[in-house]
Amino acid sequence: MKMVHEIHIDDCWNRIGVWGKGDHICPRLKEVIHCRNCHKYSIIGKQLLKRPISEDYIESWTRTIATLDERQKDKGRSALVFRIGDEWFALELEVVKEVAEMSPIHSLPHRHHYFVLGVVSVRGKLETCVSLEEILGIPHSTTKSSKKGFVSPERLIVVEEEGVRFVFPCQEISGIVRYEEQQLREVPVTLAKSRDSFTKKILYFDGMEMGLLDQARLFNFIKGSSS
Amino acid sequence: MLLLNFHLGDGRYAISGHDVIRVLPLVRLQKIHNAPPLVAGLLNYGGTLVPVIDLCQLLLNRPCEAMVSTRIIMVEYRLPNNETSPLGLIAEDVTEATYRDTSDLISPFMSPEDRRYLSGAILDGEEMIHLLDVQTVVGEEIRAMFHDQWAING
Repeated sequence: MKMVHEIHIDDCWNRIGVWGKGDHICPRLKEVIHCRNCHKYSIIGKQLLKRPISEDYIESWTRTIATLDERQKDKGRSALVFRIGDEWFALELEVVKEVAEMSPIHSLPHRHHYFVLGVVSVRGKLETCVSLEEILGIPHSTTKSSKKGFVSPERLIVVEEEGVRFVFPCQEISGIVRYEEQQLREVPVTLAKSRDSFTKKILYFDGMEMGLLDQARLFNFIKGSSS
Repeated sequence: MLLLNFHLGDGRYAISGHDVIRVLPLVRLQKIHNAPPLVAGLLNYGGTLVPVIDLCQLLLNRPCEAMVSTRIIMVEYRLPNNETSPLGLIAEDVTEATYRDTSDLISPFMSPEDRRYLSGAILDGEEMIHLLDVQTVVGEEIRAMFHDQWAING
């Protein structure tokens, strides 16, 4: 039995929105700039999910989930991978709140700490900006991007834990990885002292080798310095 | 705090993102005969059987509607021996996650029955979003039923 379920949709974005043929005439565009920021657009998107579920859909998902292997199950943890200087680091996703476009960092007069760069505006909110290069003792790098055609790969990473919140710039972001305990190695004793103390494990992922940052130590360091 | 929002009928609810392992589509479950209606069945999750509870049955005495937006939320359920085991919760309109401040939490009027699994509420405009406590959603009866199951998996 084939079930056809019809939903009536007013595709205003095609009529008067950014995908419209004529001039943009929706009054809301002035405020939201693009239809994808509009409340109505997301409400209609969600409506599309309010349709009866098909047999094929249930069948295929039941199979997929029944045959998940250990690696795809929830044994692992997730981390954000980014580059500081010429080195790749990973930070557990729990503390990462947001990744934002680079924006000007305003230095503060009378700043007390060498690693505080100043304040930076992330979507209109001022955040404390620190330098992981300074904290980890990594030389500044001018390497643009590991991927071709990326003009400005620098990003701001917003992190927060137990009310301590700060932002740090990174040279580029690789993405989010899901890893298991087995992919972690101990930090070699020969590693530079200051870097070592903030790196809790070395993570091997897809031929890449990166330092998994010790967020507890990092947050304690920032907290201890700001008081 | 991160909240995973959903509906049960017309009511809006949320659970803490901290408890959530992942969100899965609604799939076919293995029925358990003579189980209370609250228990939707067992989910074959990569060879592990995970008990699944229908939240609409818990609050509205009817099963969740089979829609694309009706999903299984896999949560981490704490066992009495302090280990955790996955538990599936079926809810409607699982399409949104939001960040809210812990200070937004309020304690609305609740019946003693509701108090068992609701931990508070948050106002969103004129509407109220109830916060569901994953750890207390499963009553004694259900816990006893899956005792062996959880003992094996744990």
